[in-house]
Amino acid sequence: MPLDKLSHPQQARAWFDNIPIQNQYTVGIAGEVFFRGLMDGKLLAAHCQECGRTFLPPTLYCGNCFSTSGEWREIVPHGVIDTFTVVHLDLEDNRLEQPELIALVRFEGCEGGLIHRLGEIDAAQVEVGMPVEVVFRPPQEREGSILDIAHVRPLTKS
Amino acid sequence: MAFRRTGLRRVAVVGAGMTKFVRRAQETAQELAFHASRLALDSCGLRIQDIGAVCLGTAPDAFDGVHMNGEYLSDGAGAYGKPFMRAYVGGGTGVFSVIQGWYHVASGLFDAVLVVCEEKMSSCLPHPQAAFLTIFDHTTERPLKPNLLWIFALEMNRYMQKYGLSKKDIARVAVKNKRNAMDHPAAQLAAEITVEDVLNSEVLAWPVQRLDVSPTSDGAVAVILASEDAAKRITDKPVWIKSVGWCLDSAYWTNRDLSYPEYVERAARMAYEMAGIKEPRKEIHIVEPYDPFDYKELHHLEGLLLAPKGEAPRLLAEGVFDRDGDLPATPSGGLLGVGNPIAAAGLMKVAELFWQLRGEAGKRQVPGNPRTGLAQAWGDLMQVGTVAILGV
Ligand SMILES: [Zn+2]
Repeated sequence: MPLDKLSHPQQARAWFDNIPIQNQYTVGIAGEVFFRGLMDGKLLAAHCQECGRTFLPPTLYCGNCFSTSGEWREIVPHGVIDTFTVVHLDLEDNRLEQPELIALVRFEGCEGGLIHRLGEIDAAQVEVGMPVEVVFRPPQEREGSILDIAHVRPLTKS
Repeated sequence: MAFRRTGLRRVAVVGAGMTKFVRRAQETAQELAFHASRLALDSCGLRIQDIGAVCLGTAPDAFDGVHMNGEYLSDGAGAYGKPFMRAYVGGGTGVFSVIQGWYHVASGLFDAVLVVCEEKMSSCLPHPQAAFLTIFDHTTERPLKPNLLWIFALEMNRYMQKYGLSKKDIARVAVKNKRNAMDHPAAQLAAEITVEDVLNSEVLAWPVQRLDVSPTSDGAVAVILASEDAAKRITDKPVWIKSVGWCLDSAYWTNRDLSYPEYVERAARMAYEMAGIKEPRKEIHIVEPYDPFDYKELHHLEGLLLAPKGEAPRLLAEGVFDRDGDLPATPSGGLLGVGNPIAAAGLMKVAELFWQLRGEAGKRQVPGNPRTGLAQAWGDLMQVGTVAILGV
């Protein structure tokens, strides 16, 4: 009897199981440099000497000419909001008490960009094109993860 | 046989490259794919801009731990901004991705195709085997908690029983392949071992013992396929893909003959017919059969009609399959010796034929100017056979 014809779905005999695996992801050759940079409070991008493009997040290879990127450049951690969203639901569909601001931030002279949390600003005030800066966690809290960046916030004029 | 071969263009392999096969690579899966792809391009002086389309093979997403892993890998395989297709037929993927690349070119759609296979099994914990626990029927088999070794153990035992074979007859494959791998610069498990070592190794699921089995590995391999016109511009030593074949058996292993891989025979017959090969035993000069387990090489040699049923072990003992024998089998060192990053291992066999048929296999070179070679892989739910025949 098809499941959609049953008045009580539990009448259909079923059982439950899972695929019991975990994964350990190496950050890779380029990732080692990038994440060590974050621990030092630096944004490091990969520069292709062949076509002059600079990639953030960095890759070992240039997606354009497919050569080894070869050179590392420290990027000024100031960017611009390319687009953003205000997230109201968590992964289990619960409503968030405090909606989360998520932005795509682009950096001058770089291909790519970073997806990260926006902080120190109200949702109503966020605008596409707004200049922002990267806020790193205090050095003793950094562990070589993308979360070593606490969030990005509106660029403070100094 | 029901396939058409009219209107197809000739396709050549013009370049190949591979990473070392290792237990644990620091590189990401994308970085492994990049290294192999770059080496293959450099081997024939091509730029990524010369490539019309990319075919990529990788086995279960669960190994790399990335769902849609083929698409994730695509940047590292140079597919950015190009037509891209992923092949996935489990262990059969390495040879199947070449078949897929072949019809991209044979069809007339593309003149140069990059074929890349990658596997990073070390990221999968506690063991990559766990990724396979759900391949079994979820109501009739999984409550028994089977793992992959059950299939191999039952198959190997059936094969031994049917032909009265001993463990010793089969262990010689592991000895041969690990020894052949001593000459492979990318090998993970090359070793001089004896039949006694195999027989004394840890029992996993009788009759399968530790040294009957290939390792888990990380690695990537790439080859470049080109149309006839393009191939002649790129190299003066093209290696032609003379034919391909593939075939699937029942999804239920209970419904297969476990002593003989019928689906491999069907795949081989398709390839032999397409290549006009009437007497495989005489016309194939080198064979790279899929060897994740020592008995599987013998099983596959029989399925490929390169040995009478049940007689591959006798031919092995006589030295027929040695590198300097009458029909060298797995001169690369195979999965047992070079390593088994699933999809990449199958493509490694095609790359080995490329090097062998061009006379570029170095210390592994098979003597006597071999002109025709066959590579085969096996996988899916242990029911697919994939075959490619290469020649100069
Ligand atoms: Zn570039």
